[in-house]
Amino acid sequence: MECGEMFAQLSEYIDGEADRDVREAIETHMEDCVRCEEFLLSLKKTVELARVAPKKPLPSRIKQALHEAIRQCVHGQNT
Amino acid sequence: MSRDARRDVDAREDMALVDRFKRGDGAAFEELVSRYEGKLYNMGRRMCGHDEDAKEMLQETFLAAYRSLKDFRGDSKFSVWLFKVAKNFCIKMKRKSVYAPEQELSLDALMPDRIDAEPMMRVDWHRTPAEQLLRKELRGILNEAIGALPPDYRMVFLLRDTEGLETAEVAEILDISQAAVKSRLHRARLFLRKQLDQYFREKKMG
Repeated sequence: MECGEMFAQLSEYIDGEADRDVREAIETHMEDCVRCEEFLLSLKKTVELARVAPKKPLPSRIKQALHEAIRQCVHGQNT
Repeated sequence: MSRDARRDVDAREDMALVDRFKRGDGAAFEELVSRYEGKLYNMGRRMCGHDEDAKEMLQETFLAAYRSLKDFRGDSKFSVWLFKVAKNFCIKMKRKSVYAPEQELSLDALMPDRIDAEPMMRVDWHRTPAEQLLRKELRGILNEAIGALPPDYRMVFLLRDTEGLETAEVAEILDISQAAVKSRLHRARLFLRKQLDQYFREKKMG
């Protein structure tokens, strides 16, 4: 497998969604290509960074307005 | 508990709340709102760009969900059904707003000229994500890069990598094929990787 061909399938590999033959071809390629190995590492880190990045908490004014609207709806339906 | 096991537990708890709601328990719906308000707010904020639109999307989504939940048969997970309702409001709001035209992210443009010719910034890429996120500047770069993704790619990225939904679930929410989900996700990740790499290079140069 060439660098370019492998490049297109790296996310499927990271997600464990690549077919077995593709997975094996990527791993064989990585054994001999340090640059691709590092590229894969940087892509994995990008995914991890996005996964662990803190999310913005729901502002209390928006939360209050939402729950008030829901309560009105629930109350309206029940009366 | 593994991520998959956690998701199964969440799905069962959601369905128990849906069943309670169908039997007339309004408090069960409020509990469902509490379970998903943060997730939908973050998706809305990232897709709509600001808090007021996210607030409108959040309210419209839950009110629409309240009105139609009685017809929800549980063929999909509740979370998938709810994200689909939210996605429809995001699209509706997108039509109302001055959005940039849809862009395509080309794989060729995201690929280095030759992978084996691109030196990596070992020092920064080898730090753990937790160490990197301590740096406020990097968080800002990541957020800006996510915001710069074309909307179709951003939506897939947020659902897959931020919310952790499965490929098949995202395909169902967005009414696209699983191949399209994978393709957009890969391009989105490559785009973000490129922005971060550029940041690391500039840090090293400076």
